[in-house]
Amino acid sequence: MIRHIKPLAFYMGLVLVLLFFLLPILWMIGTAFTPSGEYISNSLSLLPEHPTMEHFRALWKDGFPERLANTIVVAVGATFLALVFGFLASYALVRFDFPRYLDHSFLLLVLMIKMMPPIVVAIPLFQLLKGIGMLDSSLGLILVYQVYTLPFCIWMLLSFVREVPLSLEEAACLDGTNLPKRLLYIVLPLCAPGLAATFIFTLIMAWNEFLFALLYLSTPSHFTLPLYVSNFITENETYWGQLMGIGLLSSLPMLFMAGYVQRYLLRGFTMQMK
Amino acid sequence: MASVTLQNLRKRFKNQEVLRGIDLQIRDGEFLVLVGPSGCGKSTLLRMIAGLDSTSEGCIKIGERNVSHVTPAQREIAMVFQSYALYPHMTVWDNMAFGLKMAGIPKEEQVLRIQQAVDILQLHPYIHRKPAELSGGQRQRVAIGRAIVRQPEVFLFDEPLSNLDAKLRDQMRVQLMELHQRLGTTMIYVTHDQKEAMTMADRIVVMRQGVIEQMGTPLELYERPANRFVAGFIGSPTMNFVPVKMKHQNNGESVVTLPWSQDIRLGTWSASVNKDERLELGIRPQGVLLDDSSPYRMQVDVTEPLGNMVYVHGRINGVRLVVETQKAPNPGSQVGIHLNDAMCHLFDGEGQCLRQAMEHIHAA
Repeated sequence: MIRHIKPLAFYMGLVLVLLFFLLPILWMIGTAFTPSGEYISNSLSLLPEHPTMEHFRALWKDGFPERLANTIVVAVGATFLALVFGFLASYALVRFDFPRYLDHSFLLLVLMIKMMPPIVVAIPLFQLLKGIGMLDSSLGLILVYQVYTLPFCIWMLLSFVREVPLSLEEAACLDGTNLPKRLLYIVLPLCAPGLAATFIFTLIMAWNEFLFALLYLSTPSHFTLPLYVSNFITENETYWGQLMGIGLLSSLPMLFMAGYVQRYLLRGFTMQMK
Repeated sequence: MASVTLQNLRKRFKNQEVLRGIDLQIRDGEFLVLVGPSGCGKSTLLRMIAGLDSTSEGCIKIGERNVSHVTPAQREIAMVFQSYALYPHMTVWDNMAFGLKMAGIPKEEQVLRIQQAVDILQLHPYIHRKPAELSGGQRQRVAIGRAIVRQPEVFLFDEPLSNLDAKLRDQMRVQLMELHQRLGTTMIYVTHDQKEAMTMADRIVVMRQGVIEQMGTPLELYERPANRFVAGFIGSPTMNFVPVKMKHQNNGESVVTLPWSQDIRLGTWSASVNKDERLELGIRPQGVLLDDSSPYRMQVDVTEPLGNMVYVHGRINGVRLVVETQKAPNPGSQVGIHLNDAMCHLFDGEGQCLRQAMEHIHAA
């Protein structure tokens, strides 16, 4: 008897935990399809009584696709830039002989930048972007996002690059490769699972970034999605339907991307590094 | 094919000198084995020949070409690593093709060379597999294949058999020797296993603490070790060493006394020895005979039967001895021993050989 109760209690517990995490998401999805009149009434319900697409239609007309495109450009751009330079930096840190303690102090500095509240550098960065004429542009945002993404990429990739045995590179050296070819043909493929993991985390980070977007973008048509979302909370009214609609639409690409990359991630990790 | 010449080669890591002036001439087509305890600098020397480590001083020549400051790829060498260093993301075929591709060798030529290596090493069933799907011995063969296809002037092997189990190691050793006969290419082989050195080498170089202790054919090193270190390193089981005192040295004829008061006549040699000098007598297990009539009794500790012979480990006057014999005495018993004068080496306090054995028994 007790044997049966134990797994039952276990699964009940699991369901509770799952509900705890899923409830806000379900609520978001429900609200996105609920007509405006319905969700401001007092009845509390997850499922809309009269499902509607009105919020999505409104978003579409309001310029959602443009903001989505902005976000994709900025997030993907910032991620790729950080991956390229993070990979090169971590390779250099792992393989090159720097003067004693220089590489450690560099890594510590990078870590400090990562731990620092971003607002600290908001004003200097503003001046910098203004100086090079990149305020209010996607490219400018891609550059300032490196404050978040680059330290993260360097630290993440460091351990993956370290795992690549030196003897493989030496073998490649004897096979007649120079450094760029070695990176391309040997180190990069072997770090692929690490790059995939870092890619997805960095992408999510850049995708959801709000503070710098708020500070450095001023033209509404240049807004990214997190900034666009905030438009629907006004002094007079909070447009819950649109708000949840954006929430749903902006999390879908990340969800698919994570699902797609995850397969690659697992395949990469099962490849023995010997 | 090419000879390799090393002239006053030195290597310093920070303040430590790991190679202290190596002079070595490796002949064209020779199978040379570098052997020595770990940390003696043999691997560093090999890596310097490969170009993976820079030279602090001195000169490396392959053929007539000075390659001291040439990149590894341009030295026309191929190296087999201890860890095999196969590219895990490539198939066996691609592993072998990679170097050829990088060298810009035409596709048809690539296929031809790889096919040839696959034939020699019997790799047919595995060409589409990745290294993770291969056993240790198969990976080893792929690593050798990758070296063969490049048709180098010199092959370098860095302890290539040390990750294999004993049986496979024996097989691979024979395969490597066959390969050397077939290709006739100069091969430089690093190992810490004196058995590999003895069986494979045309010539052995024994190294210690960054210097060459002795070089010569396996038999030369075995029969005429230049010092105590080489004597102890070459041969298995190791040579017995017994502290002795010089009793007298008249007209070149010298007699030493063993700790168990037995006198050994060592014939004539030119060097004169101080009477108080700490001397050591070296004798291989084949030189000690079990002799029941002998008054000098050894306490038997353990016996190691090997089928065709037995190694008897025992003690006499606190000195440990290993004796090779045909019939095993009982552990714990006392046996009489007799040392064959003609098979004794004598070493001085610094370990230099004063007198070499006159007579040898070969395992063959």
